[in-house]
Formats: sequence, C-alpha cells, structure tokens
Amino acid sequence: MIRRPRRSTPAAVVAVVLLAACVLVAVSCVQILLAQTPLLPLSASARAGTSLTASSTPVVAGAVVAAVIGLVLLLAGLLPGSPVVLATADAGTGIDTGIDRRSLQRALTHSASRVDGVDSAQVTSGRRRVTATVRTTLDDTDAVRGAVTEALRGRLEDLSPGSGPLVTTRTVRKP
Amino acid sequence: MAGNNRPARLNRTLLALIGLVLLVAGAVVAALGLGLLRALLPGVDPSAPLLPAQLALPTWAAYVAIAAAVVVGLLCLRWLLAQAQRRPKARTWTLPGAGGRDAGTTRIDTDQAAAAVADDVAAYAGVSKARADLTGDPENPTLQLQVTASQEASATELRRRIHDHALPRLRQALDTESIQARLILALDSTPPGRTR
Repeated sequence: MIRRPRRSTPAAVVAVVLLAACVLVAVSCVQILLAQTPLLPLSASARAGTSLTASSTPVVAGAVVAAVIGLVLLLAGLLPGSPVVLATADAGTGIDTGIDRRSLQRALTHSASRVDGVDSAQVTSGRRRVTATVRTTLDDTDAVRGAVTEALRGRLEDLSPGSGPLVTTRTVRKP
Repeated sequence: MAGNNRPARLNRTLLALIGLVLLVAGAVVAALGLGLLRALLPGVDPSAPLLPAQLALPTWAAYVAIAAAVVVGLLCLRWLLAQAQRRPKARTWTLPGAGGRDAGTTRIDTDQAAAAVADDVAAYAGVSKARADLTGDPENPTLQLQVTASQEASATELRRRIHDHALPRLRQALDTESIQARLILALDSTPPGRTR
C-alpha cells in the first residue's frame, strides 16, 4: 500500500485565503447598503479601473502572479508527490501493509547509528532504494560500510520480507 | 488509490480546479496586455480602460455579491473543517441472522467493533498505539489499522499476531470470512530507555 500526500497545507491555505476574501466582500457590500464607508476601498478600485488598461504594468504583473499561483496549485493537485507511506511485503499474511516513510527513515538511522564504529548516520528511503550516509572515525571504512549495509538489510528484511530495497551505504571518514 | 486517505481526493480536486482557473485567467489577461492575442481577438483593445468611466452598479448587485460571498465562504469553511476529519464516518451494520430457531439480526457499530480490534492490537508486545477503522459493507468489510510500534518491535511478529489473533476475533464478531485488512505501520522515534 502506498499513500501519497493529502496536500492538507496548500488546501488549508487556499481555503483560509478564500474565506477571508469572502468575509471582506460580504462585509463591504453590507456597509455599502447601509451607506457606511466599506472595509474594502471599492470606490477607489473602481476609479483605478477606469484609468488602468489591460496593457498597464500593474495589470500584467498581477495577471502573471495569478497565473504562477494557479500553476503551483494545479501542480499540487495533480503531481502525486513523494509517498508518505511505502508499500511493504505482506509476508504471506494477506494484510496489505505499508510503512510510514519518515518513521522508517528514523528507525533505519537508529539501526545504522548503533553499528560499531559509526559516529553518526543519515538514512533516506525510497520505494526501491535506501541510502545511508555514515560518519566514522575508524580507518577501515569498508568494514563499517559492510556492517551498516548488513544491519539495514536485516532491519528491512523484518519489515518487508523478500522485497527489500537496494541498500547503498556511503561512509565519510571523520578525522 | 490506497484506501482511506481523506481528504486527499477533495484537496487535490479543488486545488487543481482553482489552480486551473487562476492559471487560465492570469495567462489570458497577461497575454491580452502584452498584445499577444491581437490576432485571435481583434475586437479587444488592450489600451482601452478596464472599467467604463461612468460606472453605477444597481443595488441588487450588492445583494448578489453578499449571497455569493456567503455561499463560497461557507464552502471554504466546510473544506477547512474537512482537513480535521480524517477518519471514515462510523456506521451501524445490521448483520444477517442465523435463520431457523435463532432467527434475528445483530446490529453492530463500526466504531465500536474497530475500537475492540484497536484494543487487541494495542496490547501486543512493542505496540505503543493502535487505531482501527472499519469501512466497506457488512459482507465485505475492510479493516484499516494504523499501528505505532517501538523500533525494536518485529514487524513480522506483529503482522502474524494481527493475522492469527485480531483478525479471527473480528471475523467472529462480524460473522464473515472475507475481511480485507490494511496496515500502516509507524515506528516509534523515541524508544524506551533512549533519550534524544
């Protein structure tokens, strides 16, 4: 099972902005009906509208900004985004299983950093590839790399038996 | 689609629609202003004022604007509230009776049945948090589990226990053989005995 981002943050931002705009428009219109000064400078905007043309710089700039925001929102809606839940093998139980990607990265970082000789570790995980970058003070970086790869494979084998992603380990010699 | 991931579909549909409207409107106005649409729309003069000099809106325009703003505002509020509503709605299922002498029906609330499964799973070794939801229909229910386990916990063992213990109990409670199970596993970032 794979789960993609819900896009809750852009959705909430757009909803709040639209809601605020609706409130301002409604309040201003009520104020106009009550012959009060409206919250939004509606008459000033109308005056500006009579002097501005479609080729005026502010109009073109505003249109470009609107188009760019539109493109960003369109892409947020259409692009799948990097998965928040990665599919794992069901180990013959028939349970459709996925693992929270961030928590997997933390767990693998934890596993890698407990390997002897590892000073600090950073692990990123994708659907098919897990990459670990470890810092070590030991001279024998090959041994550390092998041990870290082995530890991560072991952890992944438990989490997703038989379908383990490719594990790559990079070692950085720390002076 | 990976089952229940509310409100992903709503968010993505609305974001794409609003984005498309903004993109098209912005692009058309910008192209008009830059004179790129002269061949396509020869009747539109980019150097003409946007609004006529003597602009007097009728009174009903304000009422229309208020009504539109209220409707759109309420829809936005609904959209905002949907962000907090991530779990499927609880329902009451009527399970078919056994027939014969034991004829009768059983009614079961999906949230209560799911909570019982969550309690079962939460009691397993290494599990710190478990949440369950039941969706689908009484004949073909789907159990969605979200389990947080300690980093040292064995995922294989956890799956085996869910398969051998929690699922059979739910099958018995719902009196159905065909339960689909989905599990999302999160590994606890703060294992006991280790401070960050």
